[in-house]
Amino acid sequence: MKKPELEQPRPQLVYGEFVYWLSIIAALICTIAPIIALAFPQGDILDPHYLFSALWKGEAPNIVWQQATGGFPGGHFWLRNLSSGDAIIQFGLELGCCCAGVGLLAASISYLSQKPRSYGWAIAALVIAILIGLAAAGIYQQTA
Amino acid sequence: MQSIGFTGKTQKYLRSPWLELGILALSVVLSYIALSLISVGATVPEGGMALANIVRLMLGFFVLSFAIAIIAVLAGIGGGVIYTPLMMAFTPVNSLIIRATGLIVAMFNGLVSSGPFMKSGVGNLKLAIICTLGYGLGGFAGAQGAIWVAGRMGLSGEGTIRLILGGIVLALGLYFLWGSKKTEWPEVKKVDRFSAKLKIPQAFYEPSIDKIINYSVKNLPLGILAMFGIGLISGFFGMGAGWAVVPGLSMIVGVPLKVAAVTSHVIIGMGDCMTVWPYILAGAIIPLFVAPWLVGQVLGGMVGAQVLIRVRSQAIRYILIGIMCYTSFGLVTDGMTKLKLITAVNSIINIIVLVVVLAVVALAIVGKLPKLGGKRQDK
Repeated sequence: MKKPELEQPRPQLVYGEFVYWLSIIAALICTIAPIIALAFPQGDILDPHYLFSALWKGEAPNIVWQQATGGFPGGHFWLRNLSSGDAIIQFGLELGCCCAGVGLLAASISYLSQKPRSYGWAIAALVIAILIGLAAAGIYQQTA
Repeated sequence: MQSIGFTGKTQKYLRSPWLELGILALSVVLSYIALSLISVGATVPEGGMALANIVRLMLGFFVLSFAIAIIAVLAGIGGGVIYTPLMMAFTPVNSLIIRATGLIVAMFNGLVSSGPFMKSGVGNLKLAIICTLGYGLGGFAGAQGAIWVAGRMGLSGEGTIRLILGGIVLALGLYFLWGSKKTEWPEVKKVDRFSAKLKIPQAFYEPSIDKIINYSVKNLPLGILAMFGIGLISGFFGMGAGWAVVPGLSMIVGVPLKVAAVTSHVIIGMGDCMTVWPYILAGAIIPLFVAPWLVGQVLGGMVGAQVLIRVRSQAIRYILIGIMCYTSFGLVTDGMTKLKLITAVNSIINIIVLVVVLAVVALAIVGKLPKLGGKRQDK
């Protein structure tokens, strides 16, 4: 028997597409940016020589940042330093960490644009997207 | 009509997903060639690591991540459950950094597989959204707890975490060996009002029985609560939680095993997008360290899903159990050493244990393992 064609809900397809492509873009950024980070170490936020040395000694995160750059500059440090290699990696990483939020936002719009409209699921998707946004904004944060 | 110069097979590789897979693989190869060239003759500052060693480490991390992603896909679990214990047992890297990176590993493994799973129709977005409410919040709380504990417990905390994780990993290994008898098609006798109102089920085609499957869901409030607990453990230890989400969805919510397995990847990808942020904002994610792990998971996940999914076999299950048992030994001995309960384990003992585990795995694969507890070893 030929595989029967079952129509998938559009919000589900929209979510899948957004998440798939954004995570591939994030991976591509994290593939290319280390070249910049190691080719121009003087421009990096974290000096790679001291970073890996401290990592391999088993130092705690705050000590690693202290030894490699003089202190942790905050999670979104890439916003102020987009020309350095490790900041570009951090951008790619954070893009990937946000992609479910973006996908859910798109799915939420899709729930509202389909017929019949699905207000409940649009709100549920939006709530998770907002929670991801709040987590990214650092609604409650500690230092390691 | 076919374009001139291209056969049908060639055209197949110029379409998604092969096209992006090829671009990403080529970028990785070119990137590591470039990194190797950059490291030649580079000066080393006093007290720092040589660039050549850094590139070797990064390449090693990528290869390991790629292998973990493929083993994980074949074994039907997430990559985090292999990565975190393995790194904690056999590298000197700080446990908070490993656990934070473990979440990235688990998350990207789930994210990259979400696209094909959503398209296939077996994955269920509504079920993923409702479960992520519990899993994500639990994971966020677990991550905050991990950072709080790490800031206060020092070396004894590192030792205790390794000991607990060693116990969890050993229990999981034994569960995969003996207790993983799951109900493929759970029977839902009574659907509660809340679950019925949400209209979550969606039909999917099951090729093994050549049928369109309609299923029901039950006990969603209890399911959300269970996901909160699972998220808490996952966020604290930085592991993926497919091993707990799948039985949770199957036994509590009552969805078919295939839907549970596929939707668990979507839940982990979505939920860990919430869980990972406390680690990022606390500085436990180190960009240059995480990058090769992230890329390895994405590429390995894509290759595993597209090329190797057909060769899933019992042998992979035994290899996975072997990895988990040996890792558990490493975690427990390292934890006890850090707690000063024993002196550092001699490398000869490590090698003997590894050889014993390898021998048992080999015997299990060829079907010669002696019967345990009167149970037959399945081939």
